[in-house]
Amino acid sequence: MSFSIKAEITAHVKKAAGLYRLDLYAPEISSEVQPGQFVHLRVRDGGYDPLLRRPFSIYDTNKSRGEISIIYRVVGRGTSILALRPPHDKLDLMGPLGRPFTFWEEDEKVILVAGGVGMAPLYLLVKALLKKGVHVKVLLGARTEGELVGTEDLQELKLKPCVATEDGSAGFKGLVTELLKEKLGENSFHRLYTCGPRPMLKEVARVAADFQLKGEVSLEEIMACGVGACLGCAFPIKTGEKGAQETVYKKVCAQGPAFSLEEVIYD
Amino acid sequence: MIDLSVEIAGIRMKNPVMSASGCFGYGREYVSFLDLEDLGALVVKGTTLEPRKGNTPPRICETAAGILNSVGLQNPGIDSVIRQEIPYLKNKNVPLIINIAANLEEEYIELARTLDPLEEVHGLEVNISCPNVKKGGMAFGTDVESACRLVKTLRSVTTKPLIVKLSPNVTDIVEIALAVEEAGADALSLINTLLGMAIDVNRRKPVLGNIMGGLSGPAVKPIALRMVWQVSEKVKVPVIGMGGIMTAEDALEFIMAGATAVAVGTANFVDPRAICEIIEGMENFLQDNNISNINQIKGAAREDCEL
Ligand SMILES: Cc1cc2nc3c(=O)[nH]c(=O)nc-3n(C[C@H](O)[C@H](O)[C@H](O)COP(=O)(O)OP(=O)(O)OC[C@H]3O[C@@H](n4cnc5c(N)ncnc54)[C@H](O)[C@@H]3O)c2cc1C
Ligand SMILES: Cc1cc2nc3c(=O)[nH]c(=O)nc-3n(C[C@H](O)[C@H](O)[C@H](O)COP(=O)(O)O)c2cc1C
Ligand code: FES
Repeated sequence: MSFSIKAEITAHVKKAAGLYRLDLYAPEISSEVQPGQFVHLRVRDGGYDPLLRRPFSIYDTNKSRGEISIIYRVVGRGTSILALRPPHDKLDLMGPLGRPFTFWEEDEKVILVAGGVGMAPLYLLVKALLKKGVHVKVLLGARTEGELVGTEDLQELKLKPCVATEDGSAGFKGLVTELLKEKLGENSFHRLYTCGPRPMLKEVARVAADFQLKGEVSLEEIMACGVGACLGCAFPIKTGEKGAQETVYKKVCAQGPAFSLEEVIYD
Repeated sequence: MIDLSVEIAGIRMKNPVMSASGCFGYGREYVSFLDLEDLGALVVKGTTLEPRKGNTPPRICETAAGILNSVGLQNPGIDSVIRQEIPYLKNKNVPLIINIAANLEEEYIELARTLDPLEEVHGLEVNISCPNVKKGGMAFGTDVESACRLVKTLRSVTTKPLIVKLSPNVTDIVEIALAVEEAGADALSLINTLLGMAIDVNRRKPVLGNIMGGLSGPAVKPIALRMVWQVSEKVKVPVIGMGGIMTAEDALEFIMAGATAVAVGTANFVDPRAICEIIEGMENFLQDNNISNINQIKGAAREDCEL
């Protein structure tokens, strides 16, 4: 079940330069959402600029308060306008949308790889996995310390994320995928989940394949409807048995955003 | 009681607002947000004989008050639509119109033949105006002779109401409209999207994977309205107006220009309840203006407008 509602902004905080956390009162969505799902929102009420909604992963929920949170980076016109919306304003919100991440009952140890704001769909997943008693290792990567997302929230869950920054301003200096290689060499995991920029996802998928580790990836594509009606958000996906594989376009909004790591064609 | 009902080629609709093809999936994508039975009619995504993979992403690009799309008729093919989608819609109390598209005349004919016996299908919308496929599609809609031949042949293979969807990417839309009416179309839909493009200056490349795409949304409304005005002056068959309808007022403009019904496309992406809001707004307008029947304002703006 998805809803189309007007949701009041209960808090809107700048976390770092260009990075915001937005809390919304949306009890219907808060009680339905599963990790990996997203909301599709209008950054402004009326007018045709921008015309389309913008999709954002549901980062966290506070069910007792009926709230959901999103974390977003300002990258263009829509997110710039969103950043100006004050508390008590109401936003047009559709959600929860999309196919959530899959859980495998047999998993005991999983590893998560997030690139920057790619942490957004993974935080609820971490919480759900911990609740099931799964051991979770989180790798966070970003260009620089200010672009890391979720470090404090993870610490609150008593998790110590392994951090990689390209400029060395925090943690390991280099790419998070190098860190991933190291961790997979030291320990074995039952599953990998990831979200981040496309070049990172491609490398994560390659490394995971080297270690024969299966998993899921949360994809992003420009969206119009967000509900599977327009076929605008297509992403190339491999289907069929090995040897007779073909590429089909799947809808990120309705058949994803979570896809199996191995089936996605990253470039 | 306000009477919003209209009739298009024998298809009785409880109100004049239908979904525009390709912008409402197969209906079920929207059932979380509205009751399909509230629609005047449901028009589904363009359907081809064989499955279509669709164009290379990205397929959507937002423009000033509009969007460009280059979906390229991705669909599972007619057999799958008949097996997977039509049964779901069969029990809904809403007229179902299947939009058909093809590269070749034979394919259109096969599609019409296949759908003809299905009583749950109330009409066919013949897409001769898709700008996003290489062969066929728009080629039929921009050439008077091939459009005519196609409609004549289709007329001879199906008894279903034939709604022909016209392309705005022509010099004279009235000429094509008159020709397909003469060839046997029961109604006309206009407009499909306008061919356009956008360039990403940082990458120095077209934004859309398919380079060009179809423009829709509020940006195209004045053009769509003008074309509906011109066509409904000349043809006798009912006209279904579309292109940039976002509000009840937009829809009323099309009706006052001469359209019998309207279709709502891009607006669904902005508000999943757009169609219902538009229907409600039209009803309120009639109520506020003491008009009991929507047909009373059809073509109202034409009065005293001698061209
Ligand atoms: C399922 C899903 C979940 C997402 N979750 C989050 C999230 O939790 N936090 C967050 O910060 N961002 C998230 N995004 C990306 C976010 O939707 C875009 O950053 C946003 O729409 C950009 O809007 P804009 O108007 O500011 O940018 P625009 O001015 O439209 O474009 C600026 C740049 O952003 C890119 N962009 C635009 N739309 C998207 C999109 N839908 N996906 C990816 N890139 C895009 C454009 O290609 C361009 O390079 C998510 C995207 C998807 C599809
Ligand atoms: C994403 C998208 C897909 C579309 N697919 C089809 C299609 O399959 N067949 C068709 O006849 N028209 C298709 N159209 C055109 C619409 O039905 C409509 O004619 C056009 O978008 C103008 O209306 P609007 O401005 O309300 O969207 C599509 C439009 C969009 C935006
Ligand atoms: S955004 Fe419309 S199908 Fe995904």
